[in-house]
Amino acid sequence: MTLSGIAITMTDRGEALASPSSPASPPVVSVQGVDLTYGRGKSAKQVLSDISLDIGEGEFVVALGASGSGKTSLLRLLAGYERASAGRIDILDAAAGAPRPEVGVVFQHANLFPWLTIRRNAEFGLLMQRVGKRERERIAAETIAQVGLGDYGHYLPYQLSGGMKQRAAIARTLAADPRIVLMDEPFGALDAITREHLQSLVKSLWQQKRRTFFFITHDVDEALYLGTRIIVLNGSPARIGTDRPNPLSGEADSVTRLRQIPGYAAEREFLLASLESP
Amino acid sequence: MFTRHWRLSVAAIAAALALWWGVTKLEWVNPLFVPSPASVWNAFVEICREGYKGSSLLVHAGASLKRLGTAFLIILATAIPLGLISGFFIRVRALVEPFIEFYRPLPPLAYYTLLVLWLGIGDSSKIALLTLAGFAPLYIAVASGVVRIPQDRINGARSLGASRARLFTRVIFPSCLPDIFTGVRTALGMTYTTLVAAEMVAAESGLGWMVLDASKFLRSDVIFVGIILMGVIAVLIDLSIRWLERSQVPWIGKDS
Repeated sequence: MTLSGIAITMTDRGEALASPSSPASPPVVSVQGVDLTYGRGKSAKQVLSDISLDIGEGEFVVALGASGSGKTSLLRLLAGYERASAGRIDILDAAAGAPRPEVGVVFQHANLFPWLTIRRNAEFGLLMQRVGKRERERIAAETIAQVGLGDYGHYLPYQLSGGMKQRAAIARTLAADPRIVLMDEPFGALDAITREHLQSLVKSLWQQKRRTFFFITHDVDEALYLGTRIIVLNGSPARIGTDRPNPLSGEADSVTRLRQIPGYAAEREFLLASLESP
Repeated sequence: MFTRHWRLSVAAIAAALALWWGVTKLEWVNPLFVPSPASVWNAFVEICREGYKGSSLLVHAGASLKRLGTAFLIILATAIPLGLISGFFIRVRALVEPFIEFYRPLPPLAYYTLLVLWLGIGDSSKIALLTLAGFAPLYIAVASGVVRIPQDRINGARSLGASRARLFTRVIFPSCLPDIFTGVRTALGMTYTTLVAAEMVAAESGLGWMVLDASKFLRSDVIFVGIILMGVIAVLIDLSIRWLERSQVPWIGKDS
């Protein structure tokens, strides 16, 4: 009883806080009644059921779910790597279905091109978009500096640590200036200290770039620190069990600080409970 | 060879040479079977100075290397693109693979007679034979390299705006470089052994021919010169490819 009571006040506060998209502007991502089934016949497995989700420009949406909950499948649909079995997905007013440079992706593993230096990795998207050499080099150098790798531009990926590779991967995606950035548990494989640094980096980049972020994680604290809005995927096939603004959004400048905020414990309890509900 | 423990390798070679010298010095075996190092060296100097059967050693080695080089250029220009394409498009693979799988296990000399019939006794039948011998290993290495590229790498490149054509030249080709190097080394081994065999059937120049011709006259010193030379050339070629691999693809087998 007390739990839900607190949750409601949190929601009220959250709604007052989070209004990055004015109701007038259309959503940049619109998902309507989407199902996703892998395979056919007897081996068919439905992973997503009746997913509906509108994301406004400039939002930071975090999708929270246990491993195997279908959250990566949802991201792959938004990225255009996978097609929905039913329903409709529109991204920037065009039907989703193929990867496109307006929608950038950061993967769980850095997934850099191992034969290119960090600088050339960051230039890759601009090269594909036929941006001139000088402009390309300028933007790449700037973005690498933004993620804190200014001195490492001439290194090859294998020469960097896991956290630095992930920084480089973020730079590669952001240098191409996508309007929507999709991140698939990018810090899942990193140690706690590195993860906290990168979380702060992502948050400040979101604030600077004013782009729309869609971020997947199974870490409740990460969700509460980063998101302006949190959706929870649960059940099998997965559906959206919870979808609401994050009342703690912008309240702390690191995950450690976040844990000291009065409302934190209750909000964490609520999200953990909704993660576990069938 | 020539790794961290190169001293051991050098010591082993020195020991083998010493054993060779000792065995022949003590006359344990008939010099007809195992000539002494000195007589092999003399034969080498003699061939260098006067040539063998009308052609200098350089001409013999050059003839062999020319056949090898031409065949290898053809292999590189065909096996790599075809491997890339059929690794990426399953239908092309289904179309091409039955033929390659059929001829690949055949010993090259089995169809050499046919090639000689079709292309004549000159260099072109030899080059065709070497090309066929080396094509399959490189093609298969490249095609399976494409299949092993992480799907996320290709997806990531497409999300960055890569078109189909640029996906091939900028992502798929460099991704396969480690497999290309492996395939090149296997293919070189195949063509090299086939080369010597081919020169033994119908030729009047080349290191393989020289060895075969010398054996007719029981010139075991010349046979030794030819064999050692063939071995040394093969090792040098392999070393230079490995050097190229280390300097061009330092990221092989490492996480990115």
